[in-house]
Amino acid sequence: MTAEEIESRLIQLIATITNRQPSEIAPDKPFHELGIDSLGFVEILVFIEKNLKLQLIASQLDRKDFETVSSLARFVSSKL
Amino acid sequence: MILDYLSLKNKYYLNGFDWVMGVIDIIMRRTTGAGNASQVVFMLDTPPDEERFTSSLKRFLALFPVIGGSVSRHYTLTPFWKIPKNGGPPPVGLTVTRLPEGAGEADVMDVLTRCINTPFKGRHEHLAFHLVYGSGVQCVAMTFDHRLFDARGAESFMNLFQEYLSSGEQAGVADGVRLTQKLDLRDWRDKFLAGQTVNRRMIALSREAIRSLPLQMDMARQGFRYRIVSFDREESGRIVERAYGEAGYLMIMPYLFSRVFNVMHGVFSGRGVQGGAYVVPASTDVRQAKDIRLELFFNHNSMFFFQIRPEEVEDPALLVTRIKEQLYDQVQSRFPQKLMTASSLIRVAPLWLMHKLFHLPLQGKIASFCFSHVSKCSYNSHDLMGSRITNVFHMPRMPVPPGIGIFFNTFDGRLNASISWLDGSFTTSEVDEIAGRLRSIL
Repeated sequence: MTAEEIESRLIQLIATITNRQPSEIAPDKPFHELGIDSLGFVEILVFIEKNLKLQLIASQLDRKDFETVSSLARFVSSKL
Repeated sequence: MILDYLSLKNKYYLNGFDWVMGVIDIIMRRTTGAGNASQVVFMLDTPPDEERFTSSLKRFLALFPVIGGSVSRHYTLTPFWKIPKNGGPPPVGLTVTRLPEGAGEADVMDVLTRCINTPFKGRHEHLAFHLVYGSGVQCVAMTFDHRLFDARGAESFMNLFQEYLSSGEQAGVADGVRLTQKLDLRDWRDKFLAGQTVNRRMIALSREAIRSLPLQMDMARQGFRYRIVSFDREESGRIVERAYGEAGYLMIMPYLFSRVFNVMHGVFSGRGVQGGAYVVPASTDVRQAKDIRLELFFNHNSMFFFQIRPEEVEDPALLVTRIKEQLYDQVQSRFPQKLMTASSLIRVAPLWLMHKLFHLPLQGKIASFCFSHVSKCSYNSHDLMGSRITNVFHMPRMPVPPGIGIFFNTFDGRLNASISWLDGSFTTSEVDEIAGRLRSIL
C-alpha cells in the first residue's frame, strides 16, 4: 500500500474520530491541532494494527514520525 | 423493530449506563446524604448581573421540560425518563451568595462545596445554579444530577445557554436537541456476547484483592470536599511537552494517569495499606453523533478499567508502559463500547436490587480511586453573559465506594486537577501532600 493510500484511509478515520468532514482534515497539520487526543491517537494505532498488521504502540513514538497524517502515512508505508 | 419506535412521545428510554448512574445515585443518597451529582464552575473576571442572569436562565430552562422529568417504567420493564408534557418552567434550584468584604477564593470554594453537597429537592429537581460573589472573585456554578447529564453534556448545556444569550434569546438554539431514544430491545445476541466479555474482564480484575483505603461512613460528615490544583497556560504547556517526551506524542492521559498513580501510591503506602493491586476506572466519552445536541442530555459515557500492581507504580517508565498497554488493549477489544452494550441488560433490574448486586463481584471494593480526564472543554466561548471566563473546573461527587478521585479538565489551554474525597477519607495533611506532589511532579 502506498503512502498516499494510507494517508487517504487515515483521513477517513480521523474524520470519524473528530466528527468532521474528510475535506476538513489537513494532512500536514499536527494531530493535536486536528482535535486528536490520547484516546483518538490510540484508536489510530489500533486501526493501523488491524488493517496493516503493524503494531506501533510498543515502539518509542518519535514525534517527527507521528506528528501529522502525512508523516505517519510515510512512516507506516516505510515499515510495510 | 416497530417496538423500538412505540410510545416515544415524552419518553426518553434510558440506556444501561443511565441505569448504572441511577444505581450509583441510590447508593450515594443512602451513604453520603446527596445523590450522584457533579458541578461545573465558571470563574468570571467581573460579577454577572444577577437579575439578567436569573430572568434569562428561567426563559432558557423553560425550553427544556426534560429537566423536570423523572424515571418511570415502560410495560416492557424498560426504564424511561418521563418528560413532563406541559406546565411551567422545570423546578431548578437557584442560590445567590454575596460574601463579605475580603472574601477570597477559599471562601468561594466553601460556598461551592456546600452547594454540591446539598441534595436536590424531590423527584423532579435535577439542576441547581449558583451565583457566588466574593471580593474580586466571582463565579457561576451549575450543579447537575448525573442521571440528566454527563460532564461533557453539562458543559455543552452551558455552551447552549451562552449561545441563547448571544443570539438575543432565540428559542431556535434548542432546535436539534434530541429528546427521544429507542427502547433498544433487540440485538440480544450482541448484548449477551458483550456481557460475556465484560464479565470475563471483571472476573480477571477480581482475582487479586483490590488495594483500597477504608471507606469513611461517619454519618456526621458524609459530604464531599475538594481541592482544585490549577496550572496556568505556561505550566500547562510544559506539562504537555513533558507528557509527549515521557509517554509519547499525544499521550497526555497516560502521563497524567501515571502521575496520579504515583501520588496516590504515596498516600496508600503512608497509611500502611498493603497487598492487592490498584484497580482504577477511567471514564470515556462514547458519543457517536457529529452534533452534540443529538446527545446532550443523559449519559454517553463508558469506562476503562486499569489494574496496576504496586511495584509497577514504583518504576515510572514501566508504569506508563502498563497504562498504555491496557489502554491499547481495551480500545482494541472495544471494551468501553461492550460495557455500554452489556449494561443495557441490567435495565430490567430494580434499582434497590442493583444496589445490592453492585457490591457482589468485588466484595464491595469496586475501585482503589477514580480518575477522569476530559481533554477538551465543550464550552466554546470565552465569555458568559458578558463576563470573561478565567477558568472552568468540575467538582464531582465521586461514586462511593471508593469515594475518592481526581478529575482533570482543560479550559483555554489551562489544566485543572480537581481532587474530590468523601469527608474523612483523607486528612488535611494527605490532601496537602496530594496537591503539592501533583504540582511538583506533573
